[in-house]
Amino acid sequence: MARRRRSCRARASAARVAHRASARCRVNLLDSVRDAADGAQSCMTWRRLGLLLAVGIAFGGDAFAAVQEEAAPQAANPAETREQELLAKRREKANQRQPYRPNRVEATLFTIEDTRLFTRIFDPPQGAFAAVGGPGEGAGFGGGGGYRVGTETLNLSLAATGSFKQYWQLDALFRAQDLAGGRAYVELGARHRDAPRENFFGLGPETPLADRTNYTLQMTTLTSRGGIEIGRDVTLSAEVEYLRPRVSGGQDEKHLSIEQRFDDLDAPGLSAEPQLLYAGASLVYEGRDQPGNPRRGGRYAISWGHTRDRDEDRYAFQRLMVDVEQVLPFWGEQRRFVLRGVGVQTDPDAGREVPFYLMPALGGGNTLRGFKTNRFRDQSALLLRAEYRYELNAFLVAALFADAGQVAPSWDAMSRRNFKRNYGFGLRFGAATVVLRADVAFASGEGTRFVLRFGGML
Amino acid sequence: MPLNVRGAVPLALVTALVLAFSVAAYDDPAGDGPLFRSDDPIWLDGDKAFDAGGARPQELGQIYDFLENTFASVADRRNIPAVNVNTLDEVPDSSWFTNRLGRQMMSDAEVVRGPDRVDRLEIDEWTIVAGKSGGLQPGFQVVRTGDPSKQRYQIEFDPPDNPEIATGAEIIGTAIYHALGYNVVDVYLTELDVAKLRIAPTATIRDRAGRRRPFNRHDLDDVLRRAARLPSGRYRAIVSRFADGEPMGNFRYYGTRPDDPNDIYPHEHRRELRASRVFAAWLNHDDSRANNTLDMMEGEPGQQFIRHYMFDFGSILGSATVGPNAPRSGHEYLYEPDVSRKTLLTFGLWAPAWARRSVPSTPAAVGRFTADGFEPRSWRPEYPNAAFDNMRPDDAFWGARRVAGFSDEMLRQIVEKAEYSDPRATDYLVETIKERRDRIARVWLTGVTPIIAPRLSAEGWLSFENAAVEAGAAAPPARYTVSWSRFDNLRRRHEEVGGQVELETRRTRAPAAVLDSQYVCATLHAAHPDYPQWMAPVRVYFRRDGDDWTTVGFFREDPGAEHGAFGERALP
Repeated sequence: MARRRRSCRARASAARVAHRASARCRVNLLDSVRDAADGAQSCMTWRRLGLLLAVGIAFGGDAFAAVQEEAAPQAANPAETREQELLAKRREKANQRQPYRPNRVEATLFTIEDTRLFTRIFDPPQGAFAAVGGPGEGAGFGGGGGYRVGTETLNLSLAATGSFKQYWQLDALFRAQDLAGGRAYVELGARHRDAPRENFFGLGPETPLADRTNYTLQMTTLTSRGGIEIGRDVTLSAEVEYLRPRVSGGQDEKHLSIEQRFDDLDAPGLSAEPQLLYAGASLVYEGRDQPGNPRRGGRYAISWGHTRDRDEDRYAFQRLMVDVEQVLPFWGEQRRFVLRGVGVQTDPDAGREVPFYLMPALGGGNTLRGFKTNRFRDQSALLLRAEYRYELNAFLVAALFADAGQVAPSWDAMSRRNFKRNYGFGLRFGAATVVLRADVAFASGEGTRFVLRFGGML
Repeated sequence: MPLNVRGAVPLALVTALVLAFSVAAYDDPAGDGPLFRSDDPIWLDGDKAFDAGGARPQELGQIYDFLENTFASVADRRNIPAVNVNTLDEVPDSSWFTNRLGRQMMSDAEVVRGPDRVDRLEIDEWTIVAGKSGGLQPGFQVVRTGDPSKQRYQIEFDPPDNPEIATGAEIIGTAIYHALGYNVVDVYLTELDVAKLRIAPTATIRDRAGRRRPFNRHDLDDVLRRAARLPSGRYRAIVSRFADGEPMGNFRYYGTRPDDPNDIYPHEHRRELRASRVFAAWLNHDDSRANNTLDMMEGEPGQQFIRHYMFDFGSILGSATVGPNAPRSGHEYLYEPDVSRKTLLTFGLWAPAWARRSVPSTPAAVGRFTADGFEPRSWRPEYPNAAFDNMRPDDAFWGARRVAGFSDEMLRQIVEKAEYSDPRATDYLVETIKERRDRIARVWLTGVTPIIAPRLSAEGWLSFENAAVEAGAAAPPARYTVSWSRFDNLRRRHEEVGGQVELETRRTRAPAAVLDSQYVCATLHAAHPDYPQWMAPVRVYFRRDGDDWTTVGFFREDPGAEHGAFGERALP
């Protein structure tokens, strides 16, 4: 027993894996003592004493091991050099070496990162890609896919997207985006969009909610567009577009179809199928530090264009838009006021009209968030919005916002009391670019709306 | 069952035996001192002893590294002393670390030169052989045109809005981290003439979807478009020499490589990794994470070992590589649940103090880097780092001594090496780095009893220094106290000789009664009204070597540690 005790002590002393070693030690000692006790069956007292001895020794052995662990964590051979001691530890590890095996989560995330999986899926320079989100405002949730050929700078993309609201869209886009030393680009595009449940409440700022109707807008467009950087952060671009709209009854059976409530006088262009030609230009200063989630700077844009129809000479108008956004950061850019004003004016040429579906509209997740999509529509529109953004962490921004806007037949007809207002709060998830935006907006008299958007700030 | 009387005697005997044994078990093996080996203190950790040739590259994803360190607790968080220090509480040279500034005298010129093999890289003509494999900073991989050795370099540029910001940070960081003792690669400033760049026909790049394809002229234009251009039409850039050997991926700030037999110390308990928090705070290296480390396999087959590098200093100081630092840099982790909760509940009306503090205007080449409000203890990298979290006051003290070792002149010359075109940038950086150095000294040199460099002369005179006082971080203490003991190394027992003696100076004579011992222990502490923690004693051990005494042990008391007051190193 003594020999066992010594060997146990030595083991505990040397191994420095005290708890396990001492546990083993205790078991061995107990066994030993039990053996001894079994040999003295004739004497009850000795058995009891043996048990006591066993407990004591076991306790002593355990305590001893604990002391060894605390005070003598290293091997107890004083003749050994430090170098030999470390060599022994390395030898031990050499005998146990094994390749690194990442766990499943690490391996999966590494694959996603290393293969740039999301870029490969959603925005590859070539090949098939997927799209998330419906085809435009009001389409609801949807998705689609496409195929891209060419290079990163010269390519042709074909895409198709659809939504659960039965919106769908086909796109073909040729892009050359590395011209003039990377300062200029040219795009040629073709699109067909089928929007079967577009809202229409009538024209003007005071249209009742109860007048809600819907219509189908099928629009085919051919676009050529080019732009050049004419200065630091300033881009001048020009665009020519052929539009072929077709308006028909809406497919949302919960609401009246447009022709059941409105006619061509209330909604110019309702019964026509013009071929329109648009030419325009725009000048944009982009001074925001990261447009997808700006912390400072501003963006100022002005665009002007003229549209006319090629057949009946019934529709002709010019459109002027001014869009100003300024970010006002404070407290280490952790808090920001973002102010934005957008004014749009469409002026029909003498004796001509503006098709109602090409008039500016307010309402929806990108304009007046508390109101239904395209809730207000007329020839002129003004949108003012203020958003207070406060960073919860590097990936999450909370916001309190207020929007105000109105539409009117002309700029002069705008009135302070005709502003429609909503307010709300929301969260933006992302980093340099917001990838998901969720807002809850409250509009007086029109209820509460929840807005969920993938990609970019407003 | 009642005991009979006859049994009472043996019972008492055995009980006495048990008690005696238990007491002996507590007392028998050793006293409260360390066990010195004949080769202590070691100054070289033989971590090239075993062939590491079987190791394979371990690539670490950035997303996983962030998530794991932010939301999981994978490292050993015990409050134990660093495990890879020698008996003098110093870090031996190894494949991780080489004692440079602090242990050996380095001239200013040596510090400034850093790891560079030549004064200036006189190479005009480069051939692009590949795109960059990672990182935001625009650049590519090159070889010198016509170089038969095909030695590879990486060229990187500054962002257009902040010329010199990233290249300057890289030059400064490399020189300082080299002097601190880490393995870093050579980096050189250069002005690149694009006309003399050619693209190798075999050059490749990974496109944005990760697929490898030939590197073409557009790729070069794309890099240059994101690079700051000099008025001369050339581009200021840094050229980093690829480290020798085969890349083995990154090292992590916790655990060990299971495939490297020489890697026996858990990284979170390595002194030089714990204390790199001090250096990271000093230079605002908020990007100090596993992804900015590098393991390289060196040596001949059969005798290979892994050398561990720190690299990519382009985002230290005020730089975020592609622009200035975010205001949050150095103040908060990317994700701080408490801050998020408070901010959310108060609608942002509450904000941390750093956010409400005004930031001084700095030259564009500097970015966001200031000493205002710099509080070393609350400095944060972008996300938690296990080794940083495990840093104890003694680790911080070790690091702070090295930081304090950089003289004003040294720092000026290092910053001047970055060749900022705006002298205000140079001046600002020098002053800010100095001020942050001094704050680190005031905080971390005073966190433990700052006694250093103890010596016992052949005549028995004990002398020592005070690192905090020496660095100007604290006034001298009111007094020092010393007590002496003979030390039995085999039994690890102290035998006290005399009582405590108060000292007015940092020199005293040992009592004759201890000097005939093979080992002598002096227990010292200091009394300072501003630093009560200096009362925690340090134990210094001397071993007789002929007529002289060699300092073999230096242990600081740490009542909070899990391994005893003067806990020995907890080797894995």
